[in-house]
Amino acid sequence: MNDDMLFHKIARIIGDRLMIDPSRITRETTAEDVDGWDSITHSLLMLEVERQLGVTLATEQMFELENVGDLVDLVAGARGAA
Amino acid sequence: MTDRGQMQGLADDIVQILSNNACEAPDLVACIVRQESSGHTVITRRELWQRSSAFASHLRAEGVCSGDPYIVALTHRPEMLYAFFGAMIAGAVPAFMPFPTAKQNAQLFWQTHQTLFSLIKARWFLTYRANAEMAAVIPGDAAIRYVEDVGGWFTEAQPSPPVPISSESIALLQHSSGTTGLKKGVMLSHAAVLNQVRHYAAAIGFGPHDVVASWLPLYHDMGLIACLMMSVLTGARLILLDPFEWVSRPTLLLDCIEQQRATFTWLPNFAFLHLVRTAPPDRHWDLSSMKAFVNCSEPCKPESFVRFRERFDNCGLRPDALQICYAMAENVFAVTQTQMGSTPRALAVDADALETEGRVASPDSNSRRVILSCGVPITDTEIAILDSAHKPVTTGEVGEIAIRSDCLFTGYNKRPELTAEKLVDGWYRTGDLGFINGSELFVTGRQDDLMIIYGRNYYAHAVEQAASECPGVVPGRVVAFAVENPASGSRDAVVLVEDDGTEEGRNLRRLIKTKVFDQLGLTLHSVGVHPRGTLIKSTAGKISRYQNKAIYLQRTATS
Repeated sequence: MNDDMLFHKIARIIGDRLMIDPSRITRETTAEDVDGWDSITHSLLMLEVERQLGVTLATEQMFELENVGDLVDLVAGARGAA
Repeated sequence: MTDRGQMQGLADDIVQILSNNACEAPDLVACIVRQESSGHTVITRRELWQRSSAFASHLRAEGVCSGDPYIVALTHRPEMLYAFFGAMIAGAVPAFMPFPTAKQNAQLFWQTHQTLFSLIKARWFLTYRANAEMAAVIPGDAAIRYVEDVGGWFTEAQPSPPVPISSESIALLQHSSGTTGLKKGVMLSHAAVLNQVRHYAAAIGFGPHDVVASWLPLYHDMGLIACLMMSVLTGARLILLDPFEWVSRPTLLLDCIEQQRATFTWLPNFAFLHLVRTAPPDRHWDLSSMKAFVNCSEPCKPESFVRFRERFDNCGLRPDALQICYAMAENVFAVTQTQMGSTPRALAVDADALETEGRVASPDSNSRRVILSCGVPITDTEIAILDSAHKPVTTGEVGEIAIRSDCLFTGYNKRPELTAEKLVDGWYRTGDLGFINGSELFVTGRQDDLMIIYGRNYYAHAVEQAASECPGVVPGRVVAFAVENPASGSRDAVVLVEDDGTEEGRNLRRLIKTKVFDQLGLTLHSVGVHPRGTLIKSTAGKISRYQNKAIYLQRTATS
């Protein structure tokens, strides 16, 4: 899966969880841009990303992400390291 | 090892008990601290006492005096416990303080504490180098120490005579969460803490053979008292998880319960659903050791218990393991507790009568709300339900809950006017609304604008203040409120503002969310930006939370 496919997959997971159209999500989207994206929802999202993409993310890194692009890069790195 | 010479049952201060426990069974495990990054640290009673005492000796050498506030801003690591109890052994008054997360603006966060630190004349601080921004707001003559520099203080004691402690002296400070400017420092004496631990332990049948599993932050009364103090003072064992790790890996708590055969855990209502939502359907845990999962710190919802039971019924969950406690820092912790061995009683009432008239009535089919009992008062705690004139209501009517007990707080630190307002003739007026039915307390809401979100308290006016400071907001045209979120089991914070139409207001949603998060640590669910004149004022001329919330709910229900 290349980065673009990975981004679209992650955007769909975010869209499903937060009930928004995935096409509204860009790599620059931040949690502040989306209603309801709080720390609890964030952890649900991360667990869903891990489950669907078969990766394990470090807790500290999960909570330091600035935007969706950072998440895509983190997941890509975790997949590469696996 | 210093033996302060009294049996645990006769001890009248916390330090004596720590010492006695270490003498009587030094090798028993007091606490296991679990961290993803650093693994497990097992702390025996002897280690807890010796390392805390060593730290205390250095504090005295530094010049820390009896009664000095000692601010501990650390994560869940062993040093956090040694520093806290060490400060107490040195006669100081320790207070755990949260600090900004990686995503918060540290400078802004600490600026909001400047008034507090000046007021309480805080001179002694312990934190990490990574939290050095704290130094910018502490008073000029204060000393900030970093754990990285004082590692030896936990292992090498200096000669230091024991510090006399009286049972009425202040043992610790608990600071209210989520308030800008002036957090309330709840002063708790040794006697109050010990009375609470004794009464609450009796109410739930808690003792030295129990094992507590907890991820709760220790700056919160539920983590500090129900988990840490109850364990350390009764000789039970505490398994301490990191709150951040728990949020991202909630099932760590279940792993911990299974592995350690834990018997008690305390959770805010949302945490029950967070566990349900994150436990993979094919995973199984043995939860049969658990005497109680105690729901506390935010209103307990019947649906949360139903869903928790559905998910974990096949994990050995006892039929009576789901319990409820009504608690507050001003009573050290517990005020009431449901009966262990029984299922908490559910009462169906007329929702409209309750919400609009504050009246308890039998429900009709169109207006029904089920409320769970919070149980009966613990020993030596009395409850009164007061009307607006502060007179007792007729039994069964809704009013403000007031409490009187032998574990009540001494007052708010350096806030005599606030203490006098809330603590009248020995009764503490809680601001919570509720009623008594069949000798049990039912809590129905709040008298003021307190919003409880994920178990933490935030005042709507503090949120409004932070939002109104954002450029682009029409001054005074801001309203904040909380709405129920059945999926999370908690509430969502919403802010509505009027936009002044200037260029500065272009990114208002993001600006306001960031500002409120940086200052209060609260993530707003949503920010509604409206043209001038949209928000509704009450007849008193103030922006109406009630009416604007009602309109918001109508709009979201139809969108």
